Amino acid sequence: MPAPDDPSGPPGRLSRRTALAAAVGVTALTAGCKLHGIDIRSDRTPHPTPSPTPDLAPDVLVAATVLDHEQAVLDRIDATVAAHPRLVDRLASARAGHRAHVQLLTKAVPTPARPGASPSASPSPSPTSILTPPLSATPSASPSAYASPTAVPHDPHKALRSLGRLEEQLAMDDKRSAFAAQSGSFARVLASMGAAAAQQSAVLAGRDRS
Amino acid sequence: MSSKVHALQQALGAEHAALYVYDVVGGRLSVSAHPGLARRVAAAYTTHRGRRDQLTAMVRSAHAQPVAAEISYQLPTPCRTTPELERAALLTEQRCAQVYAALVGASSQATRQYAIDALADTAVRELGFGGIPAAFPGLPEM
Repeated sequence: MPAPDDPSGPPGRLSRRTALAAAVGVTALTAGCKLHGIDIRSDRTPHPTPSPTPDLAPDVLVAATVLDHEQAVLDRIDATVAAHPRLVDRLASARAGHRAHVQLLTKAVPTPARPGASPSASPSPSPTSILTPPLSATPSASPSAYASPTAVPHDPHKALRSLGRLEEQLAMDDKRSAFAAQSGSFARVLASMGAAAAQQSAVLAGRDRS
Repeated sequence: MSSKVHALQQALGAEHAALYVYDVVGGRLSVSAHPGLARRVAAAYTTHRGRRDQLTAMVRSAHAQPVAAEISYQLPTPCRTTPELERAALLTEQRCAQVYAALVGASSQATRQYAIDALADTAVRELGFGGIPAAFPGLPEM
């Protein structure tokens, strides 16, 4: 069985991340591997033994992965609000935060060379996306928590707890990406996104004033 | 001085200041009137003291002389009322979030992991002192 993100897998299982990574990979190689808006050329020194011609493509792939995760959590928040309109205020800050993350990463990652390569290649959610069943519009081949096939729980408390677990997962993954990033300034941004998810997770779990 | 050592020293300096502030806040807070806040302040003090010791060791292992604590620091608020005490704690955590974010950017490997975890911890700690979740904790320019 091919790895979940293996581009050679069945074409129908092409996730947004795979499509995006493939597209930005091509762009990155031809465009000098630049993450727009985040200067990753000025500070490649933190790594003790930088290669003479550092390959910055890995950071573009890291950005595409984080973008995929952040978008999935944003989609789940939208789905939760669609199912429980009363939670809109409660989730406003999480929604705004992840939206800001998605916007930044969308700008940072070079535009996919092939528009329409995948309908989900565009990370900006369509206005109707919250009307569709949760995550069904953006299926992910990744076997992670983000690909949760379950519907939003009917009980609003359970729905919030489920989101809290997702935020916790995102915090861990963002932090892992921050560790892996080659660029120091990009790592700083990713670590901050991880801290933001940790804050949201604490709020949703009621651990913020404990 | 390498940027990593500089960032480590900045973090250590922030932890020295944090301990000073928490010492004042803990001393002036009424434990009986605000047991929850007092518990969070005490927990924060313990955490920051641990970080100060860890950062001191990290600076030493980078073959540098750890910066010493100042005799006194300007408090971030007058620290006379309970809201002022709580706000002083919040501002202290926000300052720490900034230096740990900077340390993430200036380091790699174990030091970067340490800074990533400290940033998330301090961001969550902000919430216990009246902070609200931010899109980019520790990044004042965002």
